[in-house]
Amino acid sequence: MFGGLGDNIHSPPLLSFKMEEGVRHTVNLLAVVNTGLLLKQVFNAVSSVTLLALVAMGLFIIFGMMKVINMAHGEFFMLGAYTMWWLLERGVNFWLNLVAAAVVLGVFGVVVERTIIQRLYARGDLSTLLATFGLGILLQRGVAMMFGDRPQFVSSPISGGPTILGNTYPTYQIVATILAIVTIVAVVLLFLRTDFGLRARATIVNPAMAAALGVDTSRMNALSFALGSALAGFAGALASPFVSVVPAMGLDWVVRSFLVVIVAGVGSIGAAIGGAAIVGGWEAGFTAIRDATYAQITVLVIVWVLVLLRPRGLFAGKLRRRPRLPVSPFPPSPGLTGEGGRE
Amino acid sequence: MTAAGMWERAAGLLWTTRWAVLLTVGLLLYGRFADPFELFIISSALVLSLLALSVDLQWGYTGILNLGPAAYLGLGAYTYALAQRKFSTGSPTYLAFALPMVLGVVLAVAVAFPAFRARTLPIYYALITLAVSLILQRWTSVSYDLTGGSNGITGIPLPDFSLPGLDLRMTNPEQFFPLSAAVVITAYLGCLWLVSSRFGRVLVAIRDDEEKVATLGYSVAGAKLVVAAIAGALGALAGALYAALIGTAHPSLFGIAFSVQAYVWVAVGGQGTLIGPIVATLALKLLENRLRGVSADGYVMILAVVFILVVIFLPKGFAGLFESVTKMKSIRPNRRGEDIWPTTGGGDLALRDRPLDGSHD
Repeated sequence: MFGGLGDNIHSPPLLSFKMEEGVRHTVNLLAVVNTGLLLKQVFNAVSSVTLLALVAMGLFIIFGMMKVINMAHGEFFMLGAYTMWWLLERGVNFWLNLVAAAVVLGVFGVVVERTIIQRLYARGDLSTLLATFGLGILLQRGVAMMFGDRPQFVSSPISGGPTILGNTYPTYQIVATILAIVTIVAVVLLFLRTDFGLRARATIVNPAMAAALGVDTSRMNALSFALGSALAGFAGALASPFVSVVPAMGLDWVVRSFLVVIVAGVGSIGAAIGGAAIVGGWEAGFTAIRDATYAQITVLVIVWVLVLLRPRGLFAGKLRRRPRLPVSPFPPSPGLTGEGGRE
Repeated sequence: MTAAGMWERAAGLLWTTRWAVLLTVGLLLYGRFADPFELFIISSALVLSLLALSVDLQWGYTGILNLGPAAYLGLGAYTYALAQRKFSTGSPTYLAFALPMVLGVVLAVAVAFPAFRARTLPIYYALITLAVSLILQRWTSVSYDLTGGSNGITGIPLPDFSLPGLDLRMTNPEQFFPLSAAVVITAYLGCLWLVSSRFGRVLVAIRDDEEKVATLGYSVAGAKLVVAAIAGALGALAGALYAALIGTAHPSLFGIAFSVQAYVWVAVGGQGTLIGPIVATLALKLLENRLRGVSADGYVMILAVVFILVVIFLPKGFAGLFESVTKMKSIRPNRRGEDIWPTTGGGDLALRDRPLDGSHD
């Protein structure tokens, strides 16, 4: 449960001989200072963070733009991994499958948006959360019924890798990390540099105003849901060689990505990356020193404290130039300032 | 008080508690004709209906979503098991039931404390509860010393309510049926009292229009925290009873399966009613028992579909279908004769507000 990338990557312990608990942890701490190991841990952390950022970014687009809480996002990730596995079994090329997983999940996202999500927009409450929670379980059990609960194996397309300072860095992990970073940059550019991005950001900031200015917000919603789902599917396919592909794998990811959203806050697309760096980085680092369970417990504690200190998230409101002022009960007096009563 | 007045009060009380009476009669009849295995199943269903009540109080009445109610189930089960093991002298049963409830309240308050402040994102509570249940599941399955790891704790003794001079030791699981029935009916009556009290009306008002309640000067965050705490205690009690009944506590008690099922029970029974989720739990558990062996995954999938359909088409639950009939009854002054706003819908509130925004006439 709840294990990220770290579990499999760190499976060989830092020190292979057994010692008293306390001593072992101290030695582990010292061992991390060893440059080679430190480099390896940093690499693992970076690769774990980028993958988490990729998943969280999909969630972010959906949540930020549509205020829809997609609890099935983890299952979309899982479906991406299963698409990869299913197509590989049928002899389709690995790299082609990455694209296929994104496309399949993108289309699936549109279907889900049109059949379920669209009916719940108007309520503006947490009913999308409940509906997608149910959808997630439906998908998870559906996959379990078709393929069983046993882990499926996806072999990485590139074996081996360079050895630096006594540690081997699997080539596929390097390539996957680079691919994830490239995708993240592409999505950020899509939002900051294209016409679609402009409309999307307008919809995020003020849907009513965007609609009034001629943005087809319903279409934007469908597109952003498709984009978010496609990102989850792509990330699932990309991660499939180093995570165990089981029907329940999505739950971990949706929780971790939502922790990212909570830590970072909604407001800018870059917040997803910052949040992922905090959550994923801490997890990877703590897992290396202690173990994965305690890493996640401490992550929860960190999130708890951050929510107390910054309830809107660390990077909230970065998209707006001005902080949002509380709505005044008095009508604005247009004569005083140029901007209708606000500074 | 006149005799007529007393009769009227008694009749009113009977009407208010009619479902509890019917449930009691139904359970007595069932208990009379069921075989031991059926009694075991219905006992476990009764115990789990407490979990459904805990979800219903939060989702159905207050509109807050705790996606990890199983966290309290597991917490209660493990606490009961460990308390029975550690305090083996005398009769630790009372302590073993009280301790989980205290811990349930503590966990609920700790988890929910930052959740209900005005500026916290509303998804925080849903997510943190889900995350806590998953982490507890993982933690219990790796910490072998305390919780027996993934094997769980087995051989948990049946409760022993013996007092000095009074032998109330349970010797077989069938004797659990009256206990669980009594606990559930008591919990039902307690929740009924809670939701029809002034506090309960505030809860429903929070569900329907949170900002308005805050504007009227109620502490929304405080009310939600109290509900979360009560739900935590109920969930933990369910866990303690469940562990006592089935004799084992294992990490899957924290699992998503129990959380989802609790939501399905509430959705099928009708969120925002108390008897509905209890009856739905009993009915679905009995059905599940009949269908066992057909396909567990298929069963869960059907439940998930039903749940999605309820969320989409029946936002007020099955009870919402009959709301127009019962609406008149809920708009009554409370016991002290104070006029409280109607609990269903915001029609009257909207009327009352209209002069404030200056747009009337």
